[in-house]
Amino acid sequence: MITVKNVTKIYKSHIRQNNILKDIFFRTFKEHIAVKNISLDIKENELVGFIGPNGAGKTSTLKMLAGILYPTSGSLSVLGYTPFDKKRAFLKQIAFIMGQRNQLIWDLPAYDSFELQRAVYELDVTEYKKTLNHLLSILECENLMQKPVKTLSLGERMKMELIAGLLHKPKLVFLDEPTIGLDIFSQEAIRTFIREYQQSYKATVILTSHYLEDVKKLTKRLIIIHKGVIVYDGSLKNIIEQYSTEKRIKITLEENISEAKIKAIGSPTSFIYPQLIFSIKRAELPEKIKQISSLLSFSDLTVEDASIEEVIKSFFGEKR
Amino acid sequence: MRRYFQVFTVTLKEYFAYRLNFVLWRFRMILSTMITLFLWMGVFDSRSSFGSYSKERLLSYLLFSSLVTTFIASSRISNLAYEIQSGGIMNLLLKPLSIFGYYAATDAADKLMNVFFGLVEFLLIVMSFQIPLVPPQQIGWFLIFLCSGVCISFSINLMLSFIGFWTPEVWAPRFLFMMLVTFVSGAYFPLDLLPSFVYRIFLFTPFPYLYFMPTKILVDGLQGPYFIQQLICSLGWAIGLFFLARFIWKRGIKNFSFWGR
Repeated sequence: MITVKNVTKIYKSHIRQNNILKDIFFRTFKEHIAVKNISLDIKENELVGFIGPNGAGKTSTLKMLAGILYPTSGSLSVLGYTPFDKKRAFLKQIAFIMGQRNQLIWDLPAYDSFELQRAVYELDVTEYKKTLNHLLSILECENLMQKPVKTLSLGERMKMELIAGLLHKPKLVFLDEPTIGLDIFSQEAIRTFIREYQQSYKATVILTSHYLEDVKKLTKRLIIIHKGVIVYDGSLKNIIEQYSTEKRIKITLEENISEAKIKAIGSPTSFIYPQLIFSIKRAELPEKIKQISSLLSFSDLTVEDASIEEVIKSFFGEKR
Repeated sequence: MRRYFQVFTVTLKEYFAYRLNFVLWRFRMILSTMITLFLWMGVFDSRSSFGSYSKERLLSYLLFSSLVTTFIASSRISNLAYEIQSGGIMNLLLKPLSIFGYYAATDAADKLMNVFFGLVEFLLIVMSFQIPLVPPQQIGWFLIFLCSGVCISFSINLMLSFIGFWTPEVWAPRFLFMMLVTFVSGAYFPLDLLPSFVYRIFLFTPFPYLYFMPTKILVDGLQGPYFIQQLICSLGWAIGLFFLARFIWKRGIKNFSFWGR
């Protein structure tokens, strides 16, 4: 579905020279490599997480895949098309939804944007109504359709953005930080929606997000880009196993205990009675659990992998 | 075609979201027309003609010109430069729409609204000040030159907005250019009042074909041996500028980075 071969994108930015005449007549430019010689393949019906720090090249890559940006070198094939040609048949099969950019008509109710989408994508009226009702019911927001977009909250607007972007049932969806700035309830609703949409319509979804929870809950495949270069392309499980060298043991104590008793096991990551947390090296895990069972009286004990944030932090720590 | 009709409908709806803005804008336009009109009425207090124009023909020219200017100059394309600079243009690039078709549809809505109110204002001014008007001439040729003027204005407006691909300083060139265009396109006075050689030179530029030529046809009809040359110039500029605008669009969109947008 997507084949990217040796793609590079270089931006040019003007350097101010503190001399108005030079700035007007003899402008000088600095080159900035946004994406450097990347190659990747994405198959149909995949849900891929595309992450990296700010300025890593995520959005530039997505924009090249969607045909907004022209690559400096390399070749891209998306759904069998060269994206920058912007063929109508290609554009009808994709959607690019940006959490930080409003695509709805600001002064009018979202319904007008939906109607515009219907006309622009030449959707059959019956099919359009069916899809619209389905999407509205998944997001539980039927009541928001007639409210002017400018009066919606960020979370409500994002729901409407998603519906407007997906009404034409695109085969390929680019989601650029869809949960940015949303409260935890809205984030969860959007995640559930993305999962359900992807499963219902067998779409390929490429998701970028700074909330690693989005990536963890939605994707199996993870692509990490850093300074314009793809530094990891593999399963989420693998990276967790590879970079999560420690496990986290969460204990709910039955009675308060002395610090000496805790120190006998090890230094806790946190202790706020009744919850006690240790970070333990994988190899030492069986022995530590035995020790805890014999020394402490507890009502609950769980063993967890390090959080995805910690894994990624450790990954980037190594890359630096 | 239906998609562009929907763009047209939505643009009309957007107008009704900001009714006061629109009313105030029209008020400004009435004031502008009346200032020009009073100025020329003052000139005719002491004389019965100016150059080759009688009072009746000149006032008719000014009033018809205000309507023609309203129709041709009404446009939403000035937003495009901001959309390019802010990255908002990406929303359009991702849709299976022609950017030229999209802005033609928004312009059509803009023209409809402005001309409707412009006509009401025109009638109010004519009736309030009892202005004698010459009957409009050769409507068919007028419409051909009017359409050509719309196309010329559309392409010039697009090109002024495309400056946004290369520099964020888009408002100063647009403002300056539009001021000059208004002066040399016959919005304030008939261009054939200028010295003959200046007028002849102007006829080779696209500007007289914006407001002057359609209005002149309404007032006097087609005259003289230069008619074919003017028709060719008008249509030539309309077609030439359209292709130039398309060329600049393709260059701009390919080079623009949308970096950080």
